[in-house]
Amino acid sequence: MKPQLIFIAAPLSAALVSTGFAVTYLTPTQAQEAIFPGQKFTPFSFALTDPQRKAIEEKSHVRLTDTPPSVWRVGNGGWFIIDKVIGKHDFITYAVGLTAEGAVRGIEIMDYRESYGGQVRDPKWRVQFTGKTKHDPLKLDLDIKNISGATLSSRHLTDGVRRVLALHDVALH
Amino acid sequence: MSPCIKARRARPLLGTFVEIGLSAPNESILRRAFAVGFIAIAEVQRLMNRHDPASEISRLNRAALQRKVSLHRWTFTVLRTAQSLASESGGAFDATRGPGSSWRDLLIDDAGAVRFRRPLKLDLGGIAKGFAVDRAVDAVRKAGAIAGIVNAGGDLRAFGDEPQSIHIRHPLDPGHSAGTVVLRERALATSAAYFAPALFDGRSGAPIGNGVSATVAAPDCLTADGLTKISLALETEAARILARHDAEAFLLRGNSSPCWLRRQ
Repeated sequence: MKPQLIFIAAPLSAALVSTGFAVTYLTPTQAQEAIFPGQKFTPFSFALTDPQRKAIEEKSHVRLTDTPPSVWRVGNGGWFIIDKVIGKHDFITYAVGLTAEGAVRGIEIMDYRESYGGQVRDPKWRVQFTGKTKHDPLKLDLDIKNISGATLSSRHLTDGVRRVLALHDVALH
Repeated sequence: MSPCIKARRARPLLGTFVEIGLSAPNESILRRAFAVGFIAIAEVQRLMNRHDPASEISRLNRAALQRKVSLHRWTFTVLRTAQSLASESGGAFDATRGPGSSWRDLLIDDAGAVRFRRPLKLDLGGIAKGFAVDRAVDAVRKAGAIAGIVNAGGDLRAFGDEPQSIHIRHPLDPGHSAGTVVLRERALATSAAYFAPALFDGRSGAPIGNGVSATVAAPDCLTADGLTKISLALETEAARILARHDAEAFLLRGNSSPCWLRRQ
């Protein structure tokens, strides 16, 4: 008989996310190396004029936020951009690499966080499971990064990438 | 044990976030494994994304009423599994969409070609994510990864000698964990109507899955993914089908304890 799947119920306090379900995948330097291995990166300063902001929003159908993306010029003529998108429940920092011609060379998620505010679950749940297992799911929480069950849609990240492409069109030369 | 390095990467693919976590003997194997793993996922997306008019599935949906359409072997594998799950579940799992259509309206020949008997659309979205996970696991293993996990929006598979702990989302409150399972050399998928529109029973068209989630562990993720929909629709009657696939499943309903779908 093969070992069976074991389910360890969580106590009320084992919130996936209100304690901050968050993963950091890559630092800026690691993301640069992942998309453009072996290249040199030079920070690129820019300021958008109002007509440029308007043009980017019109091209991408996405609003610009108050924090502009960070941009680097890549040794091979490409561009490396770090941007953030904020969804209903998730916050994502991501990096986009563009070729000199402005085509997407790579997208890497740098960090991902889910946040749902302070929802409180039915207290009956706690009564039912507290003390039912000698395992301590809270301890496991520290290094558990896997979640089964649909994650959120990546649509607003796709929107963010469209905004980066519009930024390149309008302001990165 | 020889030393190894670990890392995780995530990319937006399959309309969700695909995460690959790997252990590898050195940096160059790790880098290569991430690359081929994400390429495999992107290839499944290219073939089976029905929102992309250029995908193979879109091409099939446009043409298969008029003529036989040959499929890539990956798409054909997913379609054959879909048909077999439909047959085993009496149509509770059904990849066809359209008024009055069912899985019986697909004519499939052994050479990998398909034709529709009536107007319908094929939607492999219910299991393509699971298949993508399997292809990525194959690819990263071949590239030399020792252990790890591939998670495509909640459909996942662990491989190698390292047990992986997995949170199951609470069916009423997906921002919270209902509990954890530990997985080793096995795939796990959970279905519920958390963020997506409701799921439907292929037989009646009735919505299922509100406030309920089904979690299935199986040897591969394609099977696990398909069996979640069957478990939600058939509940305890799914036990026989699960056993045939060497799979285990439980339902989480509201705040109740897990209901295991086992043969009595």
